Amino acid sequence: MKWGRALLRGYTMAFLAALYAPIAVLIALSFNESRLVYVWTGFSTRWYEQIFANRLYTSALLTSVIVALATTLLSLVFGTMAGIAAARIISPRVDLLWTSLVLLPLIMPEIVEALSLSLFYGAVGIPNGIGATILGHVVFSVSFVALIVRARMAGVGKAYEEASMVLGATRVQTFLKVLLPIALPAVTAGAFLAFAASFDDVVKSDFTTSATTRTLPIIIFSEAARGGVSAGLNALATVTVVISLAFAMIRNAAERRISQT
Amino acid sequence: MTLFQAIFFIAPFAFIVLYAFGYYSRIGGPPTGEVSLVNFNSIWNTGTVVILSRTAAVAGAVTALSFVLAYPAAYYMANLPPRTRGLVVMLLMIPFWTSFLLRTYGLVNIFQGGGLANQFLIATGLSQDDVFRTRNLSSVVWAETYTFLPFMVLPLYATLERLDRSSIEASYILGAGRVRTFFRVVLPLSTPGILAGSLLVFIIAMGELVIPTLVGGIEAQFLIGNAIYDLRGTSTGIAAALSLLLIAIILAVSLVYIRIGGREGLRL
Repeated sequence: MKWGRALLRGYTMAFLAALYAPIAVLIALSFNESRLVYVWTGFSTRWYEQIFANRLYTSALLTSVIVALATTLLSLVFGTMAGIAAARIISPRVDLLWTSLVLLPLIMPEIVEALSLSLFYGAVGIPNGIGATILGHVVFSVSFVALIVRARMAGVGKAYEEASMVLGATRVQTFLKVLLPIALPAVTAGAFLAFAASFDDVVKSDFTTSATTRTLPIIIFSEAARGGVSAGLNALATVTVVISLAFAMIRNAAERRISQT
Repeated sequence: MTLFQAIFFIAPFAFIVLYAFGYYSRIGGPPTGEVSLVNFNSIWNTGTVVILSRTAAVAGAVTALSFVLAYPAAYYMANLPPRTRGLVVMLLMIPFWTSFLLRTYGLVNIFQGGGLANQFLIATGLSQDDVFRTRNLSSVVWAETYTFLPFMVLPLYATLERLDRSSIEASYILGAGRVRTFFRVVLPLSTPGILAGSLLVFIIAMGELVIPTLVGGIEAQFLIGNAIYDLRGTSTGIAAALSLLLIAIILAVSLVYIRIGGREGLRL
């Protein structure tokens, strides 16, 4: 019996380690001096110097950050309102409608969503570019924010809001001074989710970016699909992964704080 | 937000339908003004059957493998003391929110021909030649299994953590051994997690594009996600018809799951 438990413990530790292994390997290899990816000749930051000297990569990084920030901002505005509104839906029908509208973009295969969006853009005459990509990302990012905010507000109930109105606050005051502060931890967690989802997105970006507004994941995706692994690509991937890892960790800390309060 | 979703989610979806039924044929072009089943006729052939069966086989294999790999870990984690559990859940969540593209790319680094794993096996004398290869469908299965593991392990963990300890103790008191308790009590009680996890993994694997493109080589074209992607420019109508087919399959699978598990069973 003891052996069984030890085995399970070892397996679980290996399981968790395996989740991180490819990222660790990626980061380690990116500091390899050699052009031959798997032949370790010494520690070097030359690949980083190279990618940061390359306009294609730096502008892609900038595009990615702009797209992710704009997506986050828009998702927060729409998602917070939708989440707060959802918590007061009484009719089960409206609730079902809300839930399907929010969940469908997350369940629908991204390839289908991306194709439909690009057909729509083509028909309405919206050109591919940063704006098109941002709007496409907001469709899924807003759902993350709305779901988290709804969960938070559902636990709070209407008492605070009613108290505020009884004490003479206007609707706007109630929203800004009572509801928003209550929702804030959820809004923060939602912001990190929205950012990460946008920053890592490949498929929708692929359908909506133009040649000059390609995001970092698109460049990594197309180069990896074409030529496989290279030392420079490892460095580029490390930059991306470190940004998204950092966001995942902050988000996790934020969410833990919510669950504690 | 409802308005936003209506414009950027529902309206675009309408265009998939319009293209699939031939009302539009070329991206950015004018409507043809007629509705036809031409696109559905052209996907009504053995080629589509091959694509669908391979996609379903890959998605099914990914689902089964990730269940087998995730269950023991989820089981162990659920039985840890609460403090350690929090840490472990955090360790699970972080890769969940880190780029799937880059985790796959990292895998390519390790497992491709001439990659780290092969070099290691050759260097230690365990093998003369490359053991792992990418650029085929079985490498797609492994890469997707690996990448989608969090989707399986989290619902399993959530169910197992809430499992009623008293039923397990009752089973022991009534004389069942460990193995029997596991198969007759623990496993059946974790059905909601199993259903939720396998539905999630199956749906995501059905529509996946990035992983097959990176590790599937030429064989990736036999998967429906890649087929849609490859046809999007030249035969947009056919790509749209395939998209509708994919959605129909996913809806059908979800409905079957909901039938089995009940609506409550699928709560995440």
